[in-house]
Amino acid sequence: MSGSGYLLEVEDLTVSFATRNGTVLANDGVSLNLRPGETLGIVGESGSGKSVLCRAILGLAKGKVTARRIAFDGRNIDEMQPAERRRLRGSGIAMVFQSPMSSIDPVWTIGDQLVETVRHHKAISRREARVEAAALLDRVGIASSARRLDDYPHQWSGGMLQRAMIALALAGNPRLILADEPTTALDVTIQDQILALLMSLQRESGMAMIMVSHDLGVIAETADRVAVMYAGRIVETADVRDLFQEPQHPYTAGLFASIVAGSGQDKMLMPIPGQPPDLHSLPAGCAFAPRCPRVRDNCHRTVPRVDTTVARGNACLFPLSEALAVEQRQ
Amino acid sequence: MTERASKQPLIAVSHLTVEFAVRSGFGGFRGGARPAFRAVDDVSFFIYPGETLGLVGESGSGKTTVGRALVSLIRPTTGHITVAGKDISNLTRDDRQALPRAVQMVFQDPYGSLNPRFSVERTLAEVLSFHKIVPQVEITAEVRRLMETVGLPASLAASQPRQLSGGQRQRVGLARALAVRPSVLVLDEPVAALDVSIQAQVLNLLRELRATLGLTMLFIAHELGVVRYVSDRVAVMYRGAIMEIGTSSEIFSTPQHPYTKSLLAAMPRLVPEKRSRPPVLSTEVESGIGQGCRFRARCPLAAPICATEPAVVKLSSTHFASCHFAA
Amino acid sequence: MKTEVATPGVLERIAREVGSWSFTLKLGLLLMTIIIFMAVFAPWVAPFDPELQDFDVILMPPDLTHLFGTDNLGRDIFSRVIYGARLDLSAGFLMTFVPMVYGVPIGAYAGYRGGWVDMVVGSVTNMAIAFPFLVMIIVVVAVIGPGINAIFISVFLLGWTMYARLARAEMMVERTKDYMLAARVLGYPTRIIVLRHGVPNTVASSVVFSMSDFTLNILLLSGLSFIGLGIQPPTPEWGAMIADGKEFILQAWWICTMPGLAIVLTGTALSLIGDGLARRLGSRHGSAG
Repeated sequence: MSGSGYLLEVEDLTVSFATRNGTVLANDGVSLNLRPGETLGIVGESGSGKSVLCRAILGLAKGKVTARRIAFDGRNIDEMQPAERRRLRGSGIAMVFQSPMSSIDPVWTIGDQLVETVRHHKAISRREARVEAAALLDRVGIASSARRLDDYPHQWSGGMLQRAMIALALAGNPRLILADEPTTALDVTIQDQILALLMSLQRESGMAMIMVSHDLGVIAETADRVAVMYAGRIVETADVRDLFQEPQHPYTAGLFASIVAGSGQDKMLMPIPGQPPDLHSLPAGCAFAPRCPRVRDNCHRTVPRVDTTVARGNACLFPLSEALAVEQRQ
Repeated sequence: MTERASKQPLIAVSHLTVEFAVRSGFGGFRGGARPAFRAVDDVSFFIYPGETLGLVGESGSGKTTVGRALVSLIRPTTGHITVAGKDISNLTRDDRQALPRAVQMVFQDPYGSLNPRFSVERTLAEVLSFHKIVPQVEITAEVRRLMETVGLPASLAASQPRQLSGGQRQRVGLARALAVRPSVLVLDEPVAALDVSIQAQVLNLLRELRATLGLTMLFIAHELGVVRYVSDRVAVMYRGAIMEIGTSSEIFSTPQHPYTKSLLAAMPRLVPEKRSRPPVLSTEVESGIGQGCRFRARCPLAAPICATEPAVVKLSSTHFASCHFAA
Repeated sequence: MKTEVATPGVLERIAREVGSWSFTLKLGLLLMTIIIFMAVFAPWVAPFDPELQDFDVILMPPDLTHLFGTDNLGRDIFSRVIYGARLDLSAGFLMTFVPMVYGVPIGAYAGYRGGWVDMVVGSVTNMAIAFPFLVMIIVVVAVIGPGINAIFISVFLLGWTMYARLARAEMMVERTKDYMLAARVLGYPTRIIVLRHGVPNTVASSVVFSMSDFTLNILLLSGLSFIGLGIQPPTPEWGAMIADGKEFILQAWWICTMPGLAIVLTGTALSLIGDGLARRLGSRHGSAG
């Protein structure tokens, strides 16, 4: 067990894909830390690399993954044997995916899938596993759990399936849950339910969470700390309160100015100009420079990086609060 | 529910009901009564010239069906839709051919709403040419003008959809709809599939066009916040019926229907505080609709009286709610 | 703001497109080009007149003068194979692509309309599929006599069904896409929606299948000629050549084998193209944004 006390440490993670039009870095030098019981929110839009990051942590990423270090509870994941890594998935780290309709196998009953997962982590009989499966469904708020074990996924609504997916994730009693946009595909009132459920489960079990979302409202209600991603890189990290009160990176500020919630009909939205980044042809220097209202010459020359050893960092040469620029590492 | 028209509406939807036959077994050829699914149940509303009506609902609310009925993609089972005084289910041949020039639609999915084999130029030129909007020689110029109106650089004219970003494709879809110079635009969740920063761009564009082109719009969305930004009035739908309708400020500041209040309360707050409050609605949507108020099964205010269909309560000349407890 | 990207020139676009083709596709196209080239320029490529009989050189094994040897009438097999390519390729082309031209729109229209139109077209399709092809050939031959025309008529009557089915299946998926709905809302008539918007986007599987169909049609033609229902001698055609050579298979194996190899080579080239196309068109289908 490492003395740092971090549950998850990722240092300098890079995921690259070889495509027809050249190499693409879906994640470029991403570093982050997570303490037990903490929730890290990851904010990003398309092309930010936030989903690839989750998969890379679990070793499920499709491209070439290189990192100086990916460690869970002090143990380096790449040093693990495949069997140990498999056991890690589900019991150490579990994942909840975005679209439950396409992430749950449609040809097996909910119960079968739960039982299989439970037995993967504990050597118990099918009957005992079924009892546990029903208990898991209870925990995630599915009524008449014993009867519903024999339902097929197509009989359930989106919200119920997402609860089932959370149950599957909990089956191994994980210490960390990666939630990749768990509510994006759901109705607003159901999203509300699922977020409440995730937070209460977290309080109850003390597990850590990485909540990936493009929705700053979801992040506000679930995260302790936040990392903002753009074009495969982390551009800002901060405590959630600091991020909302005083965003440092122009992209983060731009995101806040783009959201409708909170603006009346009269206040104009100030959208970020330009197009989302094309990972095939990123500009030299800062990836956000083409869209940045504060851009200056130097921005085209150097790629600013976030210093993740400090609690609050941003990858900008001229952040909104100049005082913080002094700490910037190039 | 029915509002009373105060001035001449451009769109009048009156007791619109849309039922879909539920297919079963052998392509529906089963003896006996075929159960029908009522997607839209006795919906009525007006849209006045130059106004934007926001139509909000979650999945299963019927809002998309209403939008499609308005552009004649779906035929009403009962009820009438009138555009500029003419009933669109009962048109003469000439009127039917003229309808696409009056009412157009912008679709949700930026990836499926454009023909993957047509360049931007070709998509737009085809519309202009088919409807003879401008003489043949002026088509290229008109295409450029349309692209400029929606904020697309002229250099993208020869691009194929797969070379464009989601936001750019939506702009093309918007340009295509505007090409016929319609008086009414139905937008079916036009920004739902876009990144937040691009959503804001497109919403601003819509507000601008609304002002410069004097469009009358039906803006369909599942998110109240988005609807608020572009709409003058808002109608909230649940399981096929309108629960509440009013001006934007009435709906957002003084909502009367429990469902509207739930929708507003369920939106994640932009306050950085880890949530500990319970969900606004704790149950799932029930499968069948019983008698009386269709929101009864999930409503925090549900009482025995709700077993009877609530009457429409008039709260102001513009604000109506369908609830026994509306003030 | 976004910098404008200059549209690349036509040549550059072609070069980039061709560069992205898989090795399979390029190899298949190369082989096919060579075969077609030789067929088109047969009078210049072939060293001898394919029908020239020379009783001094009958049943000669392959050598430097007669690359594929000679048959029992002293005719040069190499020249006959090349001239045979003209027939097999052009007949195969017509037998494949003519039915495709009307099969695809029929299927696409049925798939788009659905309902009773689909049912009627479906019944007609099933009848055509169920009808035994050999019986049709025999009947037509009985009416107009043996020869290539009988084959054409039979294939044109019955060979469109697979294309109709493939196009229908793809159209049933495509018609739910928003751009098709948009075309309806824009007021385009059904004819334009199906033919101009729908068909180009539903034709992919038909095109891939047409490569297999081409090969099968060449085999069909060869097979029918083999049993005497197709091309009549002395016209060189690969199947007919195999038939002619079967009595000499033990002493002059080259008479059968060479045309057989030609069929194999053409079929392989077409399969490679089909594979390459499947991957190319499929990738365009699958990749979303």
